[in-house]
Amino acid sequence: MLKSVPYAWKQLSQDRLKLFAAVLGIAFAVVLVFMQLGLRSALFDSAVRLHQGVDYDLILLNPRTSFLARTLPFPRSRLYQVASHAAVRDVAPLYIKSASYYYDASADNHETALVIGIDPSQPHLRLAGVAEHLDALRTPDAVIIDRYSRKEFATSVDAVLSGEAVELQLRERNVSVIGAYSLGTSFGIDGSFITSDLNFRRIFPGRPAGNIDLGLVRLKDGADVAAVQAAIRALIPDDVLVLTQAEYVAKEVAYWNSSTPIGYVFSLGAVIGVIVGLIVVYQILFSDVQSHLAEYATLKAIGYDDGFLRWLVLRESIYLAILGFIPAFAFTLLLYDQAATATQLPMHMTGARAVLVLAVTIGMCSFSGWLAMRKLSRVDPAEVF
Amino acid sequence: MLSDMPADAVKPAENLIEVSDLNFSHGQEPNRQQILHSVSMHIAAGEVTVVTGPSGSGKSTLLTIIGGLRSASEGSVSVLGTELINADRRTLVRTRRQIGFIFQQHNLSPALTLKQNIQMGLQHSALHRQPDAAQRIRNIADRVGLGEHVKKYPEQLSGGQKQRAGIARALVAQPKLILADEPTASLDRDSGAAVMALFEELAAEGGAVILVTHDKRILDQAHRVLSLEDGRVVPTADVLIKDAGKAFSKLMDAEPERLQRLLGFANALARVALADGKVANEERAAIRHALQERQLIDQSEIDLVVELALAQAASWQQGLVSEGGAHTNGLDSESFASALEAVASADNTISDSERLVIEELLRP
Repeated sequence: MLKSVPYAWKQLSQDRLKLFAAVLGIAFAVVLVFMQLGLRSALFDSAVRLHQGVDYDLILLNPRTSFLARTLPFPRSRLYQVASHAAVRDVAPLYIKSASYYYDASADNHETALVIGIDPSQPHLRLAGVAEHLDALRTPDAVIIDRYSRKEFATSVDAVLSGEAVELQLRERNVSVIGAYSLGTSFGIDGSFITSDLNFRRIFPGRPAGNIDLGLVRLKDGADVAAVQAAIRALIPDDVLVLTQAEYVAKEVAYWNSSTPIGYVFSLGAVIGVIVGLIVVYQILFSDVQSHLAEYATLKAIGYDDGFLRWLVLRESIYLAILGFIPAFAFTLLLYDQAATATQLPMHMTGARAVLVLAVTIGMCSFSGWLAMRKLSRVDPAEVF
Repeated sequence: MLSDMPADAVKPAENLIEVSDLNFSHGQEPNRQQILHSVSMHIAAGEVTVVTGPSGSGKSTLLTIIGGLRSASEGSVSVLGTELINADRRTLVRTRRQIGFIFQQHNLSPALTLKQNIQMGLQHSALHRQPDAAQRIRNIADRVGLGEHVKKYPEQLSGGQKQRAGIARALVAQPKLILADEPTASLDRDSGAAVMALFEELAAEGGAVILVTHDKRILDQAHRVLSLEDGRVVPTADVLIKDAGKAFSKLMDAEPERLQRLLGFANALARVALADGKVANEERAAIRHALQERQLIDQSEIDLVVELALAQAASWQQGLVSEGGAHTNGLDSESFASALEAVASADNTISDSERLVIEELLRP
């Protein structure tokens, strides 16, 4: 059987320069969407790296805690109350507070770092580089540094990684950096240190000894997490939140998404990208339809109906979407890599995002095509005579 | 009347088109403008019909209504068995698919090759799904003399080739009806003749062809001529007489001697053509061919002489004027005699009456 004439493609590719400009315009919009979604995703992914790098089934926290770097304390006794539940395997406190980090003691230059205090005898942190330093962290004023901290921390990180002894100041306390671990930065954390609970108190001497910031709860094998969560909520006063890991992650994401302008800005950026794409594709397709009106009138005259013409324009819009997406995808990979290197943020392409943006691009182009199609209904086949 | 004279050789079969009392208006009151007034006509299979008339006479409108490109609401228009008055969009599209359209500017897609352009005329047809569809396209391209050019784009073709490609697109789905708008307007004499030959072939195969044209050369080859003026059908003889009359007046003022010579010549040809009581299609064509081949007069004068001759014949037929003598001074007598005989023998035989007229005209 004879193959149908690839009319849409032939028409689209007739003017190569025009097609190139069109693809460039769409690719620009797609890159914009990819970058905004990538940054938005990096915002959320980076914000919950610690949430997902700790081993726990349930977590206790102060209900007024807004996000990780602003974790508010609550009484340690709540943790012991929880430990009494039959389904609980063990509990461990986690201490978290921001501190000024002076990497050059002779100058006044300082950054804000997150200091995390752990019980070295209870290895709940699964972050690479932590386990091998647990014993050493028992040494007074010993800390380990996040090797993926921002470049302002690079002097210390580089020195530690090259085996040098690094002394620096956290708040007003001189500490020794004995090694490095892997966590990464976020929009709220430029760099971090992990130390023992005792050293943590040395760095923050004014803190009440009976307060902790997070309570990690591990359940026995086979325990029903939801049921235990409900039981623990009934067991302790409501001055402490009891969340599963998923709920804790969701809380952090919700904060960055709703309570800060950053999440909104990235979402808006993605929407603007789509709008830019819509306008670009609409302009291209409208001008394309406009310049082919006589041709479409001829097609109608020789027996093609409106449905054929609509499908023709729709196919053109889908071709444009795919042609624009391919270079945009490749270029985005480069940009993600550049951005990840520069910011240490988790900027990486995911299959789901690629599929989502492809679908959005096709939808965007199809919608623009649909807008441009309205012109088709006014094509009068009688005008060919 | 000349316009309604059926071709001798064609025996009209079924009527492919029947138009009855068709009225068509544009716009809304009070700016409503009536384009067609009570137009009636019928066209049978095997006929080549020319619709002629001045610009704005309604001929293109009539063509678009017959072609299902425009919907009318008064009268009756039956095309290939489908009534198009008040027809819905689907019926109009279905009808259009059974018609081959040929446009003055060929209207090929510049993005498609010649083969693909021709294929577009087939793609909405059931023939496209048949195994021989590709062969069908090759055949029609060969038939219009473009077999070697099927991979070329329209911009690589001459005007005549583009027009033939448009014709191939119209013919590829084997329509029973062809509607053509000024198909020879952009063609030279030879290309135009080749196009007309194609139409005649199609008609001979049982189709019908309707041409809208100002090209008077085509009138000779039409089986039927429909003249429109201000949206009304008028007798073609009247139109010819009027056209010839205008040319006559202009020439009378500018070059009376030349007019006298041409008039005499037209007179002679008309008398021969009408010797057997009617002007056959072949005789009309023969008058033009005789003038062209024997170079008795300038090319620029041929159209005028043909019009004058046909107008003379029409006038005599209608009894408007009596037959006059031929003033052929200055013509090569041998060529003149040959031309007269060519016209007389256009219907393959020279009758006694034609012989008598020729002898009278050649008498010194």
